[in-house]
Amino acid sequence: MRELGTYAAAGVVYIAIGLMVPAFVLSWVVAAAYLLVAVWLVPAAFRRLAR
Amino acid sequence: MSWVSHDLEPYVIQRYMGKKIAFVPLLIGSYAPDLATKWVVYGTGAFGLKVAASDPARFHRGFPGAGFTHSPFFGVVVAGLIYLVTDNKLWALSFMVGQWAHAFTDTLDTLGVMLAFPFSTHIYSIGLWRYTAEAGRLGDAAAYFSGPGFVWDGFWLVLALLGWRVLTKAYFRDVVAPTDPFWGWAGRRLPETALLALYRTSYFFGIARGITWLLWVHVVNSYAFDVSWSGPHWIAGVRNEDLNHGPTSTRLLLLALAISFTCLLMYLRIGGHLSPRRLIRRRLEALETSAGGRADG
Repeated sequence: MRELGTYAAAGVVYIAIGLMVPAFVLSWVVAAAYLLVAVWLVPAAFRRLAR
Repeated sequence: MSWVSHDLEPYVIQRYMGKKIAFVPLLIGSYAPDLATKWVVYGTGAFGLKVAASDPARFHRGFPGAGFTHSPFFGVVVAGLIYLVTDNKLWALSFMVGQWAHAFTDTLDTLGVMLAFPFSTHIYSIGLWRYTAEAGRLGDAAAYFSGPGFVWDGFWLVLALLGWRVLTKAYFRDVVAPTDPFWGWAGRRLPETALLALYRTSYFFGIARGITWLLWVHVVNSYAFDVSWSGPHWIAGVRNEDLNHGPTSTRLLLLALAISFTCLLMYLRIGGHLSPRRLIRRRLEALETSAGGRADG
């Protein structure tokens, strides 16, 4: 459930950026990089800081 | 062209085919026709150099041009090359299925594709929504998300949501990863969380950008909805008759039907739903049952 929440939050931010900068949502590569940052790197960084 | 279907179709096919398909080549196949053409269709530039097709519609779907990339034949040829290079039949067939999904989906817009290439350069179209790539990326998005195109994407969205189990960690571990050597290779470099993010990217991309464009077209801007056949009618668009040399004759129609039917049979065969052994076994079982019934009677 927490994983779904992370993806949903990433989706909301992605949509918000896309509405401001439509070119952001045109590229699959950008989407993949964004998703890796949002659901892997950022949560991993938070976990490391919380330790 | 379609904006979201090409992202979601591979997940629906994955759900249907299970271990009989490899997801990565399936996805690459689904994107392949546009990977080779879209940037020239819309035009792109770097370092003061601009690359754009003088006739985007013909370049994208016609001949001469790169329209052959949208024909089922292109899928067969590239699948053959993949098999020659990798010796991996599953990779080759998965690419072919993904490319076919793209090709047949694109017959639905008013421009369509050269289904019978190389036997004919005639472009076949069902004409459900307007082909408007000549309006540029933003104009194309505005037209697509105002017409029947976005309804078609909605259909695939429902199918993809119904097949949500393909996104679970368990499904990825049990079905997706063991079937495709790519995930083993990537797994030696990245943790599972990152692999799952990559596997789920197109699903995320399709849904999130579909929502973004709908909001951009109808909330940020105020383009009018027109979901009537071949809509929206507030933009010119391109039709297959603009590029074809004549109407679709009976011979051309039969040719396209024969190719489509062959692709369907091959797809069912790859998915294991049209196994000759299984059909013969079922027939024999049916004969035994009827013979037993007669003997009892």
